[in-house]
Amino acid sequence: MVGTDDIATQADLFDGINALRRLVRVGWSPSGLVVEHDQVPIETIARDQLVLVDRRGDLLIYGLNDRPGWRLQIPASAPALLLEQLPQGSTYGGWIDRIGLVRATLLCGVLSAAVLAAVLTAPNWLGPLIPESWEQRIGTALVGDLEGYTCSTPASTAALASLVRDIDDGTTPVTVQLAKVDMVNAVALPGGRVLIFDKLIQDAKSADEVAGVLAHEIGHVRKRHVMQALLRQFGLSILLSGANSDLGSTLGGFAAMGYSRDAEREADRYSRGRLAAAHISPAGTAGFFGRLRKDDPFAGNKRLSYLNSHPDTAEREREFSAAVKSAEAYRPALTDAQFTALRDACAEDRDAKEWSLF
Amino acid sequence: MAEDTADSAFEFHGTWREYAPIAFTNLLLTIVTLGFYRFWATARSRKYLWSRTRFLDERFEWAGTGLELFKGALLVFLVVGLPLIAFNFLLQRLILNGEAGPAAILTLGFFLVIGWLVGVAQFRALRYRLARTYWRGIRGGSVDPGWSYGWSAMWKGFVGTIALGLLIPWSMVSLWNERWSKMSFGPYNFAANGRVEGLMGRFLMCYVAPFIAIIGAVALVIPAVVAAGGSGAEPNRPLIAMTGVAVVFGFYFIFGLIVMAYYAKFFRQMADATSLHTLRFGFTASTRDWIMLFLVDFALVIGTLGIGSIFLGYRHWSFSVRHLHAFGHIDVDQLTQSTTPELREGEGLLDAFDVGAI
Repeated sequence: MVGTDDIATQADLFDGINALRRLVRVGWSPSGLVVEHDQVPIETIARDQLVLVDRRGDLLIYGLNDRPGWRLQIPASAPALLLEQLPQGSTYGGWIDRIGLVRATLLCGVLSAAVLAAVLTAPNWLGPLIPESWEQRIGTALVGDLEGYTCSTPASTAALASLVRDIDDGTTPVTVQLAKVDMVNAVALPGGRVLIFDKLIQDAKSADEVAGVLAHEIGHVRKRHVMQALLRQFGLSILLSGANSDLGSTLGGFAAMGYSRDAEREADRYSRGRLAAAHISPAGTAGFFGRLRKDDPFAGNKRLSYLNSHPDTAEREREFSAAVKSAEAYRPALTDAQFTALRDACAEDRDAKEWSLF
Repeated sequence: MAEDTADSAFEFHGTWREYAPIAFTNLLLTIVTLGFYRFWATARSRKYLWSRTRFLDERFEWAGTGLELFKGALLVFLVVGLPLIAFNFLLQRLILNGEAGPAAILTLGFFLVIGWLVGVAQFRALRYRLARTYWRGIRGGSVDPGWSYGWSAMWKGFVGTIALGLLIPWSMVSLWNERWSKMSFGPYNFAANGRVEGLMGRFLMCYVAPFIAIIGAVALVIPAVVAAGGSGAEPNRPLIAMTGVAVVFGFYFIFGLIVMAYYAKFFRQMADATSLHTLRFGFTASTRDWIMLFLVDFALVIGTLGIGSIFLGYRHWSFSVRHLHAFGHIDVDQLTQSTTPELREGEGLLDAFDVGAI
């Protein structure tokens, strides 16, 4: 006998070797749970080997750590003296059981809010902390060599350099190039690279608006928006992989990388500030946005994540118009000869290929 | 010792009231952990559903844990997710550099790998679920890791789809047979010898469905348009819009019914053709049963503004068990422990591709 009736009971045992149900008698002894069966030797199981697998109405089901499938079904009506010796199971899992559901919920809620806040704001403060040399390297890795599509002539290179000198206030170099792309756009790429598309130059009514757009893109570089966008998307995609298991939509979000509206406004402010410092009129840029508003060639052009469309052109047109000071003696951003050099660069540079995917 | 199976070999006796506390606390904890609790939530749900499902004289047991599912998902994130993110960057770079050829090859390769992985994921999820399902201390599993099934699923899926998709029933039947023939429970392999005969009629109806829907649409729209604008008065736009909405809903409803009729037959036929040693299976859900299931699902989710979706898993499980039957007999002393590998990481791959398995 494994014990007196106040500490022993009948139970069902499945040994995990075959599917036979064995009627056993179990009881508690100082060295552990004693399992007695009329055909197999008495076995004593240490308490730390036992786990409560399930509570199933009137049955408590115990398993053994090192024997998969070994299941002991003890009636819930077994003597309390026996049951209180046996391990307790888990409800919600691990530490949630230990601290309680309410406290666990509050704790997780606060933690999650903090994580969410960190992921959403980290790019803004972490971005500028990442050395620009790192961004250069990341940029080269991500963007690769676009030299085949950039156009330059000695005169256009000199003209661009002069324009950049006037409107850029940074210390580290930015690379500004013309690219033979048939879209009215300009982009700031990772690694301090700015590309002005040839179509934008061809469509420009004056060099002033090229200066405004260029200053906007340099603003993205100087305000570290490129790095911020990279970090935001990376952080979000990892966070989303927790909330949403669907890799496809996570990747979709990743591909839709772009600058925030706030970043666009900051880049516009930078542009207006630099135009003012260089005594270039913002009226040209306002005119550029005015034309965009009427015939928005950016709409739907979202194939490339870096080439995102910008928010609300009407607002931008207003703000650039408002920045025009009537008393100011503005000078043209480029001389006629310089502007002509920019216009002709892509036609004259025989090595430049027209960019197109297909 | 032999156990004979009656008609009601399977029985589900869970209740909504027992399940609700599990479902609601799962939802709560999943929200406050930004989704990370969902692995443990899944394990808790399954533990309940399995333990309330009886086969002959004994209930099933789900032995899987949240930690296993979490590890599975983490592994998939590292092995599949991160490379996919890197791939995305590479693709961006190639597009940016106008390299259409390599980009196209890479994209094709990407879809091949994904197609293969989806098949592997379905196989491994089934294998994991069987390996973590115990009955009388005995579990199932598979010795096959599923890599070759991934290829089968890909090429059969491809062959099924070309030729106007006419071979889709063949590919579904053949993949069911292949998948189940590689699974086992205890010492016995499942056998599946499903045939395509009997399925084609309903499948071909799926092709007729759009025409029925279009004829219905035309029959509806013409009188409406004539009534609305035929007299030369101002067209009745709301009426036309409502007709359009009705046509679209009608189309999806008719199409949905026919697809469901096909699936109902498919599952009945496949379950009938599947056996385990001396046990044969059967599935009795009719098209009407499936329609009722989804209509009530729909009403439940809409009527509770989405909260009801936490009960869908419960409903689908109970639906499956209610209609699942087994015939024959089983020798419990011959039903020895499975020698297939024990699995300790969950179905992360299936999770990642968000494909449901029944």
